[in-house]
Amino acid sequence: MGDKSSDLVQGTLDMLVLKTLALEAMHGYGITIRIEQMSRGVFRLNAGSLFLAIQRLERDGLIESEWKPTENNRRAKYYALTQKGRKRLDNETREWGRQVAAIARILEAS
Amino acid sequence: MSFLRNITKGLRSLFRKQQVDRELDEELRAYQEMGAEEKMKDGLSRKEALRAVRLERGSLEVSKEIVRSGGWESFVEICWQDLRFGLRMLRKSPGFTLVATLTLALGIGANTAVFSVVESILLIPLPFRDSDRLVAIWATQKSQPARIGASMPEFEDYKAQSHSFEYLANFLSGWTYTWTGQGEPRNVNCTAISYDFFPMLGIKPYLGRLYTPEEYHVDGVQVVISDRFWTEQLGSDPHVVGRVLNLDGTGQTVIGVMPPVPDLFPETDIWAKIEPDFRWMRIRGNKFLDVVGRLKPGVTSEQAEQELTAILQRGPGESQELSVHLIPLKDELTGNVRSQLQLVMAAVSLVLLIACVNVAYLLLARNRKRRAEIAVRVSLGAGRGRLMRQFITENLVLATLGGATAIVLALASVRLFGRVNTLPRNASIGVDAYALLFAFFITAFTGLLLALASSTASSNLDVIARLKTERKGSASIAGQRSSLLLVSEVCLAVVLSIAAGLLLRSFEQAEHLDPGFLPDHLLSTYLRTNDSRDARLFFPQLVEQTAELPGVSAAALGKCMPGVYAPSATLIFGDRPNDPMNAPTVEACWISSEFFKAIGTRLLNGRFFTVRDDASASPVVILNQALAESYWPGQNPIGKQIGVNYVGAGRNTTSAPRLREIVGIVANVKQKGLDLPVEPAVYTPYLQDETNHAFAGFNLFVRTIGPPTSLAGTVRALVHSVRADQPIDVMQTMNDALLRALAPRRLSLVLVTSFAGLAVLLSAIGIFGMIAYTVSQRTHEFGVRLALGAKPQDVLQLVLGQGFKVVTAGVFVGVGAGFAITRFMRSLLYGVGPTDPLTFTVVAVLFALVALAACYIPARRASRVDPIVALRYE
Repeated sequence: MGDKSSDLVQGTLDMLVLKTLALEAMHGYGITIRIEQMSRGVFRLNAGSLFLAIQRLERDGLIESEWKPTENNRRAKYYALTQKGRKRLDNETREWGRQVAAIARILEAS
Repeated sequence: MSFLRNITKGLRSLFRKQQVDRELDEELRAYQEMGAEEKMKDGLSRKEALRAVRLERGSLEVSKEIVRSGGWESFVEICWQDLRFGLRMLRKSPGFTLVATLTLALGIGANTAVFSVVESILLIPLPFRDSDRLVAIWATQKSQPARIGASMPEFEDYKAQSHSFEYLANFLSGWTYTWTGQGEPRNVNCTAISYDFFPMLGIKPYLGRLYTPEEYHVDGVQVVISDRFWTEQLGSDPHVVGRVLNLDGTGQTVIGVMPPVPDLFPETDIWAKIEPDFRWMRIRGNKFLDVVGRLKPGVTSEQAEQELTAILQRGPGESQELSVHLIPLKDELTGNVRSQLQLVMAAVSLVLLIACVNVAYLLLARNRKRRAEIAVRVSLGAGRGRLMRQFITENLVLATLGGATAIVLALASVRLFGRVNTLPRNASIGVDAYALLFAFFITAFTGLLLALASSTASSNLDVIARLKTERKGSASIAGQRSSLLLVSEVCLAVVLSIAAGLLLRSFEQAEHLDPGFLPDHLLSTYLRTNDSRDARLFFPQLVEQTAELPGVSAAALGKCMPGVYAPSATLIFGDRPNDPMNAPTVEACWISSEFFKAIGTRLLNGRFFTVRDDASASPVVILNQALAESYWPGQNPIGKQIGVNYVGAGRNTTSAPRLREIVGIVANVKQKGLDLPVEPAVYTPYLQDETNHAFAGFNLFVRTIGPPTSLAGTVRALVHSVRADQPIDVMQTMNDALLRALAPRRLSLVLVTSFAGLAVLLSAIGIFGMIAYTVSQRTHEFGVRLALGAKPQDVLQLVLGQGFKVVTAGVFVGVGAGFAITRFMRSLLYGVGPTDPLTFTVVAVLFALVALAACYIPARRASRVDPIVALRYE
């Protein structure tokens, strides 16, 4: 099904969704497009994995949702970061940076 | 917090499924529309755009499925689906469901019931304060198994010198008072206790008070009564304290009422006091008290044993070969049934295994029919895990049906055990939470076991081959796996039958091996008197008049009850040096002159006693053969002299016993139990009891010409004509008394035998089922064989042969296992070895016959197959 998101490191999709929502509340399709744009088309998402991640994040209390009209006057569910979600994003970003740096050091060393 | 949110969200999608679904649907649709709008900007038509989005992002339904499967609630939902499917499958084959449920219910129910009994008796702690530290204290003499009680001076030494115990108490149970003044005089059961007994258990009186320490040293006129006596005899009179009861001719004032003391002396009416100042209490060698104690926290049994042994050996005139042993009080109370209950538990768990095997076999047969269904499932994408989950759910449903029925069975049957008053702690037997938990666990275990059986049957899921050869595959012989199941089933049933057979043989041996007396035509009653001087006149008069009754061939008195009970005594010898510290202990009995004639014991040498062997004659004694042979091997002991020192409460002499002349040798009598070995014994004439103690009570034995019960009324009337207010508690035939004495053995016998019967029945059903199934699968083949000229007998032989092979293998393995296992039940056997060849042979032959019968019906059907019908059927 050409699901590039399966190439994502386990758990990073959650982080990317959180990052996308850090700027503003957004609906599911918006998140998809934003992630694809920001990754310059490297990551492509299908609906199933995206909404699975969203369900997970919502149940963990990291994001919250609200039905709102879109700019095209369609009803869509908008997701926004909670306080807890913001904290989680900060932590994960820092941890990710640490890990990437570490991996880079290992790769350069050899 | 987030855990809670997860739960509530999950519950929401479970219970408001439609709404949650609608929301998800709407959200995904919006998502697709937005995607399509983008595409339409590139000039695609709306239809093409939607299609492109579906291809790119996944279809609506698949996405929904993915999202749904993410939450924990989807697991619940799948289980629910499987559950409904499982129930539907069961409903579709009601015959299978009924047989399987009943089989499992029998297995689980019997296990739950037996577990409840075992738990109530052996596992639950005694209901007393710190009951795990309560111990019974016994002494033994080196190289002798007999337990020795304590004498009062010994007990006082323990109490003064030991530092291991919080409390030490003693008691004396199993004696009676005669209660007069309210209706017919009757005997009431007494347990005498020392001061620390109730404080040790943490029990306080309901009403009134216990004896004060000072009152123990006064031969007082106060009594403490039990709850049982208070409610059953005194109508729970709230003003009972201060009421005067006439006990043994003395007015005794009630000072207190004790609450029920569960599990300890449930029959007690009067809690009397141990009076340490009686003369017979002061004799160090008179060891008859039961001692119990509560260990201090942190003190081990071994430390206390060492300490008490040292104290005991320090006592004046005590043997250095004595040692003290501590037994947890619970084990002490239940020790006599422990090994029997363990055997019953083992037997009943074998029944469960057999039931499981039977149901597993039914499942195998059914699953073979379900192969097509399973293959379809696999081809539609069901994974191995998903299939396994379905099997587990289905079989758990089946097991739960069985388990629920089982609990009903268990509740009904456990009440029967509570009525068996030969079981210790029988009042507390019941199905409690632990037993239900146990039932739950074995139900789950059974379900999983069955799931394993049915899933292995459908492993190797070669879909295409299965779909194609759905019929052909099953035409082969029932399959190794099911043969293996049957072999193991037969093997288990054989082991169980061997165990039952050995118990049966033991019981038969105990009942029919010569007990040394003739229990038929023998009536007995226990007569207790409270005035020894009066009794010296009463008993000789009574026995003389009883012997003259019409229909009576002999009447006699005896302190002992053959096959049930005998007092004990220590011996000294006139013809060799004696070691008074290590005097041998033997069974002993005060008897009247006609005793051996009445109970039917043969004289081997010398003479019986006569009425002339009275207080004024020179003292005499009769030995049993065992005693004569162990002390005078190859010699004639007649004319030799021994002294007999009776041990027990009330023995009222301190002087060395008189030497008695041996005048006769009688055959060995099994004195203490039909299933106990014969021990050395002496018999002494009751009129020569210089202590008067024997006259406190006697068994009257009446040998009748006709049926013994027909004389019961006459004897009763005679007793009352000689002594108007003499209470008569039990009048029973000797056979009844013996049967009662064998009751614990009978209980385990009945249970194990019925479980073995159940096992045989189940395995016969299993064999029948297997052969019937194979025959139905091979109808076509048999038709061909018959069409090609095979005779019906050939087909019959073929089928019988197959069944027989399986059964023979099972019997063979079972007999082998029996040889290995039965030695663990040696302690429960009597008169037969654990590898009794007769039992093993009979069981093996019995099984062969049962198996043959079970095979015969389907085999006969096979031989009668009409070739034309069989071939058309295909």
